[in-house]
Amino acid sequence: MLQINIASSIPLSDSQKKKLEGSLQKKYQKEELQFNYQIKEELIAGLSLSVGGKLYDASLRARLSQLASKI
Amino acid sequence: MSKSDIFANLGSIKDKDLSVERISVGKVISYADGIVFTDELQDVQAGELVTFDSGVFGLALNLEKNRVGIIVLSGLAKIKTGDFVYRTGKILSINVSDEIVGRVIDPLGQAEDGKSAIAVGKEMFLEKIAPGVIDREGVNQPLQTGVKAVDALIPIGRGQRELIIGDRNTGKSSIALASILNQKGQDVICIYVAIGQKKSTLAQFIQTLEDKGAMSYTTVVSASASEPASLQFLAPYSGQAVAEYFLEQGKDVLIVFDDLSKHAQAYREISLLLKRPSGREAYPGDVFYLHSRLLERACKLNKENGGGSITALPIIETQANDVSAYIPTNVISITDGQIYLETDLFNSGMRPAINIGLSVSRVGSAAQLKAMKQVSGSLKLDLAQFRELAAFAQFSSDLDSATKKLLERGKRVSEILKQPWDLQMSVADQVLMIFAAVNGYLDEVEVTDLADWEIDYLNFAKSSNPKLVAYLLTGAKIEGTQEEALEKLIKDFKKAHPRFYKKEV
Repeated sequence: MLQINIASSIPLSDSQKKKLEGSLQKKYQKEELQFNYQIKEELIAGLSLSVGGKLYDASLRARLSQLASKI
Repeated sequence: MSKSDIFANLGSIKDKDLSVERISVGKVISYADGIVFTDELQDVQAGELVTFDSGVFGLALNLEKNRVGIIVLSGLAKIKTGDFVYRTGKILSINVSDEIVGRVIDPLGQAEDGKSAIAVGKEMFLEKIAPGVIDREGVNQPLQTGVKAVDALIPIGRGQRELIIGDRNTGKSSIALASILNQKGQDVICIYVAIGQKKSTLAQFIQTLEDKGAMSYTTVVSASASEPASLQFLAPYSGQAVAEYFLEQGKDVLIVFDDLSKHAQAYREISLLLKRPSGREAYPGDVFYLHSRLLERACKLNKENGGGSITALPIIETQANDVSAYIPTNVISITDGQIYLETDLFNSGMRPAINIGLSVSRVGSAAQLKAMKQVSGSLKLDLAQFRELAAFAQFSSDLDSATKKLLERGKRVSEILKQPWDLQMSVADQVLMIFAAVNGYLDEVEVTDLADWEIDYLNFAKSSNPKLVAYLLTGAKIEGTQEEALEKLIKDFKKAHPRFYKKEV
């Protein structure tokens, strides 16, 4: 079973979760997925998603730190 | 960077620069004793800098099949299990600029003295391969320590690695301190790396440097006993990184590691906690490489590479004079000689408590000043004969006059090697004293009067023949004329100060 950890700054609504799970299930078609939700206020806004040893960080915090490194 | 530059840069950043990237992360499995184990963290390099969610930095040391061992570079890290660990893609480095001289920094290059942050200069890697043979040249310039016994008998050259070894409280740090103080006006940058020392001792040390005006050319890298082992382990490499910054400018640098026994212990702690196999005295297998790669970076570069040098004075503390323990033998074999200090000598009033017989300098004599070389040749002989006879003479009461004479000479020669730690002697002063001792001009003076004789004689020399003193300061060879002048000087002094010569031998 593949663990998917989803962190967000505010709690996600059920419809948002459903949408997210649906699109992820499409991406990982063959595998059985387990979704773990987590609230991380330090993300400021947006989502971060970790699958296995990979992190997809789409939070405002990550954007800001990318911006800071580009300046 | 000015405000307008920031806005100009902002305009040039495209939306695609800020896209969501796929990055490798690990999760903290365990955190104890400053060691973090994480799962996964794919593609991490050995020795790579990593960061944690809380912004703390770590260093990936152990790459194993299913986990990565990381040392945390902070004592009070807020790390929870499940926290993410991010790669930075960077090898550990510190920021060094010219401003670093006169400052106290921690092993990560942050100011420790409460003054402003170090200005941005160059990123210097903590771990670096030492310069190769082609870039180097032989040690050919002396580094005067201002200590008679060292400069005369165990001369140190610029680019040399000379170990200072001895039990606790034998004056190891004092010799290093004296060497730093003596570099005033010599255009040498000094770096003092304190590893696992008491903060009170270090504060005192820095105060002394400040009082004597030595802080203007000295940088102190501090990882005191309260810092975690990870920082104590990195401290000497940071010091070396600072030294290399000045080496690149073609400068001469003196670096003191005080002390490498504590450094080895810090590394042993890390290694054991990382569950690396332990060897002799529980040190890990690569404890030799730990010190050899550090000290190998001391060097004398040739003219094409700037001609700079790094002279290293590592310090090792022994237990009960045991130089055959693991770490002492390792470092002895890495360095170009050692200054061996003994408790017995220290307690018998010999300061500095250097055991001349066991101390050597393997490369320094090539760099020794000509004048010093001339006078110290017979000094070594006198001392060797004295040591041999002194042991022997304890058994027999009546000795022939030749033996007696040698013994008396030996007593005086060892007496003049005594020197208070905070007195730096110039080349001229050293040559004046040693010349007098080895040529028998002190045989008529009582041993107990020698300290006073020295002070009066050196003052007398400076006032009555400043030209000769100036010549000796250059360290050039003593020719016939200077020798005559030296002899005349002592005779004049004898006439002017008859109080030292009451008893005729």
